[in-house]
Amino acid sequence: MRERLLTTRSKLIGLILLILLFILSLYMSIQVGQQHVAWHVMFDALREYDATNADHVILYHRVSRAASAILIGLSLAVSGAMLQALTRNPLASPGVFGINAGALFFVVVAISFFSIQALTSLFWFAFAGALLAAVLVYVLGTVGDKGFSPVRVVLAGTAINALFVSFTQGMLVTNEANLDRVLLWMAGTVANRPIEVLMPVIPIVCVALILALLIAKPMNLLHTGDEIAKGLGQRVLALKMMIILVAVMLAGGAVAVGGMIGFVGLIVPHIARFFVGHQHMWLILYCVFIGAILMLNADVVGRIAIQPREIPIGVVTALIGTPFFIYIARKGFKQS
Amino acid sequence: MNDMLRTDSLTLGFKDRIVIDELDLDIPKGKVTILVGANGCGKSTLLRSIARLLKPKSGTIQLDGVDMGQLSTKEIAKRLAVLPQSTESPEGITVSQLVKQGRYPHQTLLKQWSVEDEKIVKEAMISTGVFEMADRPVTSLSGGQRQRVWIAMTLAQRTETLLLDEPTTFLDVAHQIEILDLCHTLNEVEGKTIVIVLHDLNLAARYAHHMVALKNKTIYAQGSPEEVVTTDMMKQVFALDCEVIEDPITLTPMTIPYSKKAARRVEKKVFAL
Amino acid sequence: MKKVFTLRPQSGAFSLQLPLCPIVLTLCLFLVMIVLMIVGLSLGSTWVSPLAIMQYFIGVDVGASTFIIESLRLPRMLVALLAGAALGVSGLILQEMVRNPLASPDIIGITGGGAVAAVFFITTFSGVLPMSLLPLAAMLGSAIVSVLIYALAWKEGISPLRLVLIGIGINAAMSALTTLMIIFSPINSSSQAYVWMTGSVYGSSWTAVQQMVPWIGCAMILALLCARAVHVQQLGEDVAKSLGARIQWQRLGMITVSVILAGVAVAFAGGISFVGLMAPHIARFIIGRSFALLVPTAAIIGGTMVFVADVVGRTAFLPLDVPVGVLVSGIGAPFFLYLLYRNRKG
Ligand SMILES: Nc1ncnc2c1ncn2[C@@H]1O[C@H](COP(=O)(O)OP(=O)(O)O)[C@@H](O)[C@H]1O
Ligand SMILES: [Mg+2]
Repeated sequence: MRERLLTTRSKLIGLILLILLFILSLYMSIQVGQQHVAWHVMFDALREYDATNADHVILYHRVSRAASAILIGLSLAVSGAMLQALTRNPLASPGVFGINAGALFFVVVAISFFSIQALTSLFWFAFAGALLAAVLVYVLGTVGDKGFSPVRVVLAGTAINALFVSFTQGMLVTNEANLDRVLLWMAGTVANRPIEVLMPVIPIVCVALILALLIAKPMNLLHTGDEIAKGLGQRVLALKMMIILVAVMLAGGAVAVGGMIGFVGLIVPHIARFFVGHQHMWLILYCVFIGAILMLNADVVGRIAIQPREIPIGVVTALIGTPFFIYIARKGFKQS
Repeated sequence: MNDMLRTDSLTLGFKDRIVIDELDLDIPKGKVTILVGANGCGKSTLLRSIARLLKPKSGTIQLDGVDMGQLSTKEIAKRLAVLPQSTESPEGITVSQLVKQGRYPHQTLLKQWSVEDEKIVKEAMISTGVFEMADRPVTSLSGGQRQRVWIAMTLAQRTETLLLDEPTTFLDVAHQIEILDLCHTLNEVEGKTIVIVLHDLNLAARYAHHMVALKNKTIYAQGSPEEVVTTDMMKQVFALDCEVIEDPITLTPMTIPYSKKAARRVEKKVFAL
Repeated sequence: MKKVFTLRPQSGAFSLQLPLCPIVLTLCLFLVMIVLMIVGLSLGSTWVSPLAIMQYFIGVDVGASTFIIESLRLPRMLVALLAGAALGVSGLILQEMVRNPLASPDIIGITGGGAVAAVFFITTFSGVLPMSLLPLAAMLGSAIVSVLIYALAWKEGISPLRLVLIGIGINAAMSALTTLMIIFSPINSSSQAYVWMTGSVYGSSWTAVQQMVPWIGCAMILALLCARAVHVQQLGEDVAKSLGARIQWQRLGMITVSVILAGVAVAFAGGISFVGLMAPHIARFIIGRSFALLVPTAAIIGGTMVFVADVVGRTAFLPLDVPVGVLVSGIGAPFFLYLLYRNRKG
């Protein structure tokens, strides 16, 4: 596909626009809600947080939500972009790698068998599940004479994914009591994630993002095929393992925080690629902001659409993201 | 009628970009026509549109005096076969399975594998020298072997016209000659009309009855090899200085380019004592 | 040359060529399936001996067991078998058409559309309209969404990749709608809807079998007729066109066949995932690439996967009756991973 923004200059301008849009979305996400909170209160709360002040508490909740939304959006988007590059399959996403399902399964186990409720503990379970799934997929996709084969990885990923989903469903169907809780988690949510809970995730995601940017340049070689990449002096295997590690760190973190928000990891990379093409440095930067903007706005819409109830953010992202995605699919893919 | 294929103010392009503009080209029946031109000048595009793989922006293409737009795809496939420039062999397909696909336009739901099909496929494989590897997966072959398998497939189509887009890429010299000799024989013996895109001008001049040089979205020169292959044409079409001499074997024109290494003729030094 | 079997009567009226060894393999698989069916019919809260089952099939009166076989186990098994076979072939056609190993009936909106309609039906009309209308609602949903996807993907023809991407998009939107409906409905209909979404053949009747057979039978025959189109399209768009294949019509035909197959399966067995994706791959591991043989093989494997999962679901966790959709990937995925591991060389 041919990108829309051809010159570095236009890409840079696009990025600046995205950053502005991001700031606007962030502002909206903190301002919009049932209760209006004045501007200056925000500064007060920043300077001196007062847990007895209702406005401060509301702000605290909204900032936490915005933080989870941003974290999830950018992690899933970047992770999806990297996995699509790795497998050279436009249909790849963290979901296809079994990462979501692995995390979900571990969370359900933790809730059902160990009666764990604390989010921080659930987070580590989710992370372990994501990691386990990814390692399994990698091992199964790589055994054999030919080493890493994108098709095998993708197939193994789908099977592992199905396996974990079926374990999870089995537990849910046989134990209806947890269904409601887990269903909500499956639909994805950023509600009630106090910012302290996010703390362990933030460094992981930051490190992963830096790594992603560091390997962005060599990743450009991947779609030329292994042989050419090797010929150009790239250590292909090391690069691939690095990509998987980064993708798991990002997606695992996202799933741990927000549950199964599947669509973002698939569509945001496509949207970003529509603008900047295959240069991964730009692609990753665009993914970061587009992912965050999409999630922030989805959260706002989910909050205010049918008050007083909330629509899970995963649902809103899918509903908002689909029209964009279809537009791009129609514009961009003339020939396969 | 002497022209089998003729284009009438044919314009081709992608989106807003015109690649071939108002082209009137006649391809003589029963002759070998070779298209030459610089990379990206639209040779493949032209060939693809003649094979109806690309819709013209305007203009028509006639096959034996009939507008191709009025013939069914299958009808055309029985009369005109094309080998695209880049082909991709499906995973796991064997040589004979691939060559068999050439019979597609002649088969129907009920008649999927007649005695005739079998005979023609075998002949096609033998004449391209791939019969020995009939059961090997195509993906396990070398680039040149693969190319010959694909040529066998187009031969199995048994059409009176063959369009080949750079059929000799990836082939060693011996196999290049072999493929072109095969084209020559098909033309001599069966009277097939053959259109080839070729980069080797010396071989082109040797095998062509008719040559067409493309430049600037249209024909720069056409005619017999002697008429087309000139120093002037080389300068204009390929932006290359060269000498044209006579091929010592076939007496057709032969180009010898100048280059940085040999920017001018080196005179034989005679040391007079 | 490899051993091939050529069907070509002297008159030359028709001719057909099939590879020999895979035919034998397909027949073996079929036998295995029959044996498994007999075993599956025996198992349950009451044991019925395999002998009695064979007697039942040849028309010997087996007394009290007749009721168990005829009314309880056989229709349910047949629905599972038919649904699995349909899903397997549907996925096979799509994977060949799109030339992407990740393609499955989900991507052309059949599952998503069916689920939206079915969940809407369950959450809004349960108690108002008879549940026997549920398959109709699901089928309608599948059909509408498939047409929508096809229309959105059309732009001077259908490009497979565009079709898949748009299908994924629409499917995500559909599952979002489904989740929304489930979350905002009372708990009893939400768990009913959830069971539907995972896929279940609980309480299937002969009526269901009767309604499924004509659709699936016709579609299977049409699927076999796709073989030529599939093989020629594998050579790539340009070559296929130059060989005279009418690609767009063929694609429309293939999509229609797979929509019918999966639509019927989803209507009667709910959103069973995995089978449509995996059965074709398993079939390819075993048979190779001859499409005419992949069709029956994918059908046998898909069907077997589903009914075996169902037998396990209704026998292994007594008194619970675990929905087939849960077990099908629980059993199928390890098997598939094993095959993947086995085939690691080349
Ligand atoms: N699918 C396509 N989309 C857009 N432009 C194309 C496409 N195919 C070829 N072109 C352009 O058309 C021109 C002619 O290409 P081609 O016919 O392949 O040249 P050649 O003479 O080397 O075979 C080139 O400039 C190329 O960039
Ligand atoms: Mg070319």
